Amino acid sequence: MMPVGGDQAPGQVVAGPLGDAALSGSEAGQASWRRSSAWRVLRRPAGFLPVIFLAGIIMACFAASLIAPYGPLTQNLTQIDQGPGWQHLLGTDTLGRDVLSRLLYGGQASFIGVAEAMAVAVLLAVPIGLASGYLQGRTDTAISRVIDVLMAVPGIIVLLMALSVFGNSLTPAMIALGVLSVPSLARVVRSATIQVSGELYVAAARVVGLKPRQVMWRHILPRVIGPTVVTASILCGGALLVQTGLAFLGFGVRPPNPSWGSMVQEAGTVLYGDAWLIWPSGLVIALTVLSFILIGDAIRDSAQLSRSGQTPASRAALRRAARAAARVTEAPRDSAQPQHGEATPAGPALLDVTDLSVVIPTVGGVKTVVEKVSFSVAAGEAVALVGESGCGKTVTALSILGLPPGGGHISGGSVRFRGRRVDNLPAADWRKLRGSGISYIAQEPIVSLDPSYTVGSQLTEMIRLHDPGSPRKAAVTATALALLARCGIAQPKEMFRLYPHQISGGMAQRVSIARALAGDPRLLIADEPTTALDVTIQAEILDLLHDLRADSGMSVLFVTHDWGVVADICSKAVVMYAGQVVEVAPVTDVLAAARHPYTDALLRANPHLAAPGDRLQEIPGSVPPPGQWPAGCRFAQRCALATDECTAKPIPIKQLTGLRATRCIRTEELAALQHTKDGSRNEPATTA
Amino acid sequence: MLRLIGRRLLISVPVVFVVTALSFGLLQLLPGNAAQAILGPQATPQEIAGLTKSLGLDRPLYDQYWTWLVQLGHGNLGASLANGQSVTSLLNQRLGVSISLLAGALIGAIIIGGVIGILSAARPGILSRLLDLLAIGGLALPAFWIALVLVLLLSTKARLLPALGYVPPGTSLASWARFLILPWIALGATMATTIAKQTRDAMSDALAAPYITSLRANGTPEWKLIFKHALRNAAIPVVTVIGLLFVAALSTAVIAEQIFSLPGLGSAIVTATTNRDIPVIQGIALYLTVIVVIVNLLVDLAYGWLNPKVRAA
Amino acid sequence: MSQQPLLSVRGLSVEFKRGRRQPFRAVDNVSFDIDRGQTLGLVGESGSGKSTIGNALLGLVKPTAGTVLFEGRGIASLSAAERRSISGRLQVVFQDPYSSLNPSLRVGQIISEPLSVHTDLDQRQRSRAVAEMLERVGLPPSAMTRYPAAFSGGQRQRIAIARALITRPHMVVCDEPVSGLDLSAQAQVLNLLKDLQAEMGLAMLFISHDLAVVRYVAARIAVLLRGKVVEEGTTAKVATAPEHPYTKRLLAASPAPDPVAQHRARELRRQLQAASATLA
Repeated sequence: MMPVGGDQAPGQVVAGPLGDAALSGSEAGQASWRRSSAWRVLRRPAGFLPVIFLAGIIMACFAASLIAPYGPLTQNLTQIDQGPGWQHLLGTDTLGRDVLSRLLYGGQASFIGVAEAMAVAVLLAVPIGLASGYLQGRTDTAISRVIDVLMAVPGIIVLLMALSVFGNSLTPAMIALGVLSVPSLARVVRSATIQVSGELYVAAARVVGLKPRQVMWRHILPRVIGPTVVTASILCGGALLVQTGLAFLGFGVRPPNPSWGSMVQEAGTVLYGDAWLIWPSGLVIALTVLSFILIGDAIRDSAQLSRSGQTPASRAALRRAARAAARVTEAPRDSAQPQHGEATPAGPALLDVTDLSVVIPTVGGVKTVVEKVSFSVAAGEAVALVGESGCGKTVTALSILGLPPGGGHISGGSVRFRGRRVDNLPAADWRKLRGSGISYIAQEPIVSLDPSYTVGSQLTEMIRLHDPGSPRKAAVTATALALLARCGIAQPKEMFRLYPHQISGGMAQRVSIARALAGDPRLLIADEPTTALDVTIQAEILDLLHDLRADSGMSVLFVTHDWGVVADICSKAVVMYAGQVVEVAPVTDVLAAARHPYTDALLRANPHLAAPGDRLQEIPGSVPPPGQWPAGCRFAQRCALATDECTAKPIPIKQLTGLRATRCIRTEELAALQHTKDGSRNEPATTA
Repeated sequence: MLRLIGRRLLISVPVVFVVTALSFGLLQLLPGNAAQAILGPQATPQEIAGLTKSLGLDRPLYDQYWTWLVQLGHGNLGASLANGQSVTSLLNQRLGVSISLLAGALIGAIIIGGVIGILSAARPGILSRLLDLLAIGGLALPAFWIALVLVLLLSTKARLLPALGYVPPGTSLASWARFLILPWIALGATMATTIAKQTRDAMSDALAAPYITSLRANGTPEWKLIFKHALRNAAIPVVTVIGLLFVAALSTAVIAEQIFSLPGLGSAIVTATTNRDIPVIQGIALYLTVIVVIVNLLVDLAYGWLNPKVRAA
Repeated sequence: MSQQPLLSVRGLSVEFKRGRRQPFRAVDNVSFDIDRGQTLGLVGESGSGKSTIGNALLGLVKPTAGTVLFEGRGIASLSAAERRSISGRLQVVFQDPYSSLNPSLRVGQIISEPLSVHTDLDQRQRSRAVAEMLERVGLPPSAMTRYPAAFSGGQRQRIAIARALITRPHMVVCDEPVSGLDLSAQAQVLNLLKDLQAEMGLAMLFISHDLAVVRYVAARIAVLLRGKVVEEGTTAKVATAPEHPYTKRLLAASPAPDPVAQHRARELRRQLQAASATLA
């Protein structure tokens, strides 16, 4: 019997203590189950072939009396133990009976058995799972307990016990198998129901006023059918294996009548003399079970395709694109003239990014997501990498660390840290640099800590990593405690013993910061570290970062979309749009008057800067995604000041006075527009 | 942690109860006169009466069950109808065989499957694709067929390994292993491929987690990411799967014992089922259920140790 | 001029059972009013109970105590049928634009669903109403035949607004409607909400953690901390001269795109922290 559960591949089981997985409803790209799913499954060879095979073999078996060349019991003692030939396509057995005919007749009992088991399983499991998942509460608890108990019963015993009573027929055993399969199927239905019931659109439907019955029928059931069918088809395969296994053991159809299982058994007895017989019977069973499993897989994959665009086929395309991208790398990437567009301040830059371009393989081919980005971070400076989602700021930040996400890689430009080129470092050198020269904190604090280890052990691990001598445990612990205290943890000793799931988001971010400081880095890359936190906690973390910088002179590259955060701790802003840098400026200057229409529009769209009566400035249209970037200015199609010159060809970044740079050729018109709109935006937001 | 163990025991009691009640109900389900069904059409009325009395079938139902439970408490599971041997001694003889088979196959599957899974997650590529194919094959191919093919290829044709029989480890450890290799492969193959696929998927998920990115970005070397961090977290879902796989493996073990002529509990229950040897069936049902309970308990303990939410509580 | 408020909440409390432990009080004795055409902003951080209040008003969660009067009628614990009768007049826009629209249904079906529950319009009339509504929220009528997957977050939120407003409700509960959106999409949605409110005379309960957004949208603000209302008043007052220490902390923490203001805010935060430390 096969363990089943969840909506993953066959054999993927998700069991009780961890809860169950099911199709997620909230990802983008779901398509209608009711109409197109069956069609989509059948359209792909992986879905289409098993269906044809299965349909074919079922029809053939039930039409055996019409199409079988011989009767199932017809013996021909002059032609025993034959291999395949013209007279007997699959050979004959020890009594000269035609194997093909016996397989056709024998299949009937197998399919009937599978149908019996599945009918029982589905008829019982679906209502039970739906009830358990939708009603929850005590009903759910009671049903779950019963399911747990049934899952622990060794099924083979129940089956054999049924057979001991009703030995001649496999029907009671198959019914018993159906009942034994109810727990795993009900679990899948239940978890899908729970998941769908928790989706906001179900709540919305309830608020709209639909009756519970309507909610169930319209919104919940269609989404539950998918995983149910996937699991059911896997169970069909399992039921067939059980049926043939029991027949193999001699239960059910009695000889001389054929059944697939007993034919394998007969072949087994003559294995020494006849090596052929074992193959047709075994392979027929295997191929039929395989068809069931593949159909389940195909249904699951087409659901995933509509969800995320990731099927095995598309993943294969992704791999090909990745390989193609890898081949592109090795062109020499020294740029003669760094095109910062900004005058470098006095003193060597700590971090120097020059014309950095990053490509990522996607289903549609290799796409550039970051193009010729240049900026620098001086020692002790806090620079903000600002932009909305999809502009490439996170990709840039991670690529600086040598870790371009999504299987991507750097396709051009260079990154220099302390004067030394790092974008082409070998892995071993990178490992030395990360954490001790440049370190990193991520957006979601709790999940950026390993859930299986205590805070203390993770911190000490990081400290040891960056301390080349083998320091004594006491020294390391002391360092760790000191770090925690410095990051504002009130009770470091207690925090040491806690696991990530036991601490709050704010605490976790402090721990992450402590971990990032373990190697005493010169540059901290902070990727939206406060986006996931409450605003008062955010303020605390920003205060912490501010103080750390003031104390140690550490530089920060702060990736964010929030201008308030930029204004809080950064002195320079690098604004990104559609993979490019569009403006670089000191923060005070850009907030007073932006020099790129996008920056200007973004600032005007901020409710902080609007008076209650105003309308917020809207930016029409949407950001062009990578691969669909226009040739000229990428913002032109949404810009009120755009002219033909803007869209004609790519706009280079241009240095302005006062450490500013912009990628706009209409800065004078912009300044005029800002002047007429007045400086109402410039009133500081009032605080108590 | 204690709560986890307590919960497992709480489930186990009803499980044992369900199985024993079911097996007890067997007697009642036999059509017509149970004793007659057991002895067959040739039985004389005296034999029928004698068996009826000795099986206690003339007493009320609750009385019969209570007597059975009491006897169970004393370690007395009755006597085999086939040869009168005490069920307890019969099963104890065979217990070692089945445990050798199951334990060996399970441990082998965990080790081999785990290693393959980790490798194909750490180095995705050909190995990963091959694993997908193997996993499907492992699920689709009937275990009894795999066993026979193994016998055909490795025993009959190549004469490398013996096909039938069993040698206790006490007599000769080497022979014991030799006779069990084919059964271990037959039983372990499906388990290994499933464990490998589960491990690979769990490791891939773990390696894609945000904490791995953060650790890597702060300088943690790859080997540490794989073996110290990802593996620890990936082990959690895999461990729970092992418990379920074991229950499924019992059915395969029954067939394996038949094919390889291993004198274990599995082959005994098949014979007993054919002969309607009810006391033996009841006894084996109990033994197997207890084995499942123990294995599930071990799995729960491992899970409780691995899962930080349980460990911390 | 005391017209009865559209919505009147008195002593609302919501508790959640937690097995053997003490039940968790998500909302504790909350009271407020909303008049016709008015917007009340409910501001709080996570765990403040603001979403629970919204859910209680919508009938998604059962209050443990208190009364809720909508148009003079108690709605705290209604049967499903009774709820249905008022749901045409009290609607919702949720936070997550990706999960608040059924991905298996077409946009047209999603928006017309409330019509099929609350009106007798036939298919063609419904289609027309849906097309009008789509135009009103700035989407082309051709969007009716497409699936939510084809739209961006901001566009989906506008679809959700269309669904909420198609039955011309008197009040809409907006539960963090712009929190998941980029700044540019946020501006579009906020402008839209303000326009529609003016046009339809809608009352709104605007729930958000973002003080700047709430200030922009609401005339009155109530600040929540751990289930209790700690301060309530006109936006002008609460946002410029708050009285409760938590409101002060909240204001000092809200990041404003103005370095001078931020510097001042940092000083203020330090002062508040020192003050609470000495109190502790």
